[in-house]
Amino acid sequence: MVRKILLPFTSLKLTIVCFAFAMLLVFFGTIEQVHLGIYGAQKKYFDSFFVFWTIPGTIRHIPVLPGGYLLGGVTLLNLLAAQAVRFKFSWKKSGIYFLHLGVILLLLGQLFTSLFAKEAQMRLDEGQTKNYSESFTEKELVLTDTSDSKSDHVVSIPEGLLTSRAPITHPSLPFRVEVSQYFRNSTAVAKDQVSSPNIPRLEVGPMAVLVPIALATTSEQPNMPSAEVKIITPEQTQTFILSERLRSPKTFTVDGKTWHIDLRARRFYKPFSIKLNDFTHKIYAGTDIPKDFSSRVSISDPATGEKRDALIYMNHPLRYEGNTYYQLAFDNNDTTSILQVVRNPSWLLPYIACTLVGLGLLVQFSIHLVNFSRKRRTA
Amino acid sequence: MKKLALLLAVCLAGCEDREIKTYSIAKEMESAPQLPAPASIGMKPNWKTPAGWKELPPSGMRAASFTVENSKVDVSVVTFPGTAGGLLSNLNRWRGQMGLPALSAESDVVTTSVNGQPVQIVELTSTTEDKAMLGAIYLRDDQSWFLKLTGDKASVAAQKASFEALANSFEFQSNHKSTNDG
Repeated sequence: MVRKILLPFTSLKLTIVCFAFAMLLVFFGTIEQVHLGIYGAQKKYFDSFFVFWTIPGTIRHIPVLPGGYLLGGVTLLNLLAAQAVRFKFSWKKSGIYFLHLGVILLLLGQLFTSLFAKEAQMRLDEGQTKNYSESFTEKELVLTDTSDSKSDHVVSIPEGLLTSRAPITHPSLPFRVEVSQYFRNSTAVAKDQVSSPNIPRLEVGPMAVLVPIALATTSEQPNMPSAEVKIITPEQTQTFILSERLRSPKTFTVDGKTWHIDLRARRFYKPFSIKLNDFTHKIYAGTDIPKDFSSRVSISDPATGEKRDALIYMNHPLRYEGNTYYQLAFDNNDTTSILQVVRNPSWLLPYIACTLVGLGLLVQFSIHLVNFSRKRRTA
Repeated sequence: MKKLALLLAVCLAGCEDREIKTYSIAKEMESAPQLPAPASIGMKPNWKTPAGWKELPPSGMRAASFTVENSKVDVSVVTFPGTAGGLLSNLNRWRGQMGLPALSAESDVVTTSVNGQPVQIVELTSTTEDKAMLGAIYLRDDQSWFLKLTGDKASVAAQKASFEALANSFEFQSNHKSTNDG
């Protein structure tokens, strides 16, 4: 019964079709990065079941290619089914089993990575210390109770709750929060520049307004949300205009306690801090062609008492406490370094998978070589 | 497998996106890092603050402000994406604030050069009230930068040399670069 269901999936033709589609997917997914950026292309081509194409001049989307999840899933099923149905252990084919096990691990590793890996960035000026990284795409409305003398108590409200416009309450908040306007991406323009009275806007000064604009497609120019937020207590309502673009945190008082309110990229705090001591950007003499970028950082972990320096450069990330810090970009005339922070619980899987594949190939070729030389000797 | 992956993905995305989180952080860590100037609204130029002037951090629409010792002038640096309505309309807005008639053509505006890049530096004096303005407009990398000094006529005249030194020290860097390009 199981065999009967699995049989169609064991086809070698299916494998070839999957490989062919995978090549197309990698090709078009790479080209599309020009328009969508790495994150957008990754979402559209690889973290999806189908790749949709919009018929020009219409709003109709049609699937044109299987996406990464579908192709990976089918390939995995194909491989598992073939192993299950045709599995007969023999020493002659032991290399192939290793090889297939490696490929299965590689596919699973990619699935786990796309499900569980978290990517963020850490932007550090020279001499600056930070104990948090910031999301590339996610935003948060934070309300911070600053009344405690030792620590600040932060309530982080994710963007998903801000766009829904429903009143927000939480046991830690002695007031109700209402978001009356929310622009997922926005820009500041002069008042007289807004072309139509129907465009929603938020006033930020005598001459400027914030208006919504199209969502960002590249990580270099991320979305810059703006919002009108009301803090409501039975006694009073206070209204704030917040904008990540204008970096405009505000303060207010409820029941004698001072609160900060801010709209910003979502932060991920760590129990340790990283300080950027020096960023170096070397170019080839007489050209603008970059030769080498590196960040010299100090890690300090109050919990373990650890304090050490590390040098981060291309292909030489820093791994610490499950996070990997890569050199991503730089800014401000070479005085700001931007690190990419990746937390991927399954980062070891591809290494194990590749080792298995390599081992499998070695075993299989060695068996062939030995057999071949034996035959030659007897001939 | 597919269904399981989809289910997991939907659940993870869904749960993450709608959950309010609370945490505590040490006080000094939060207040210590100096926010960089609003780099996201265009690369902040470098400038030399004149002697006796003090630069204040960004606030609201302002990328920077300056206070001047023993003087009541107000100095601001404001930036907008694009041409912010065009050179002429911005100049005429300033002229309007000083009670001066609008110019009709951009050719009436004098363009000079700072560090090899064009800039418009203007001096506007009100004919009806005791107020004057010094302004400079820079358009770089599709971003407009406005440097403006206002105050009574005597204070503005006293700070003119410092203002011009500041306006002439504006130096724009090329845009944000990625080390992943090569």
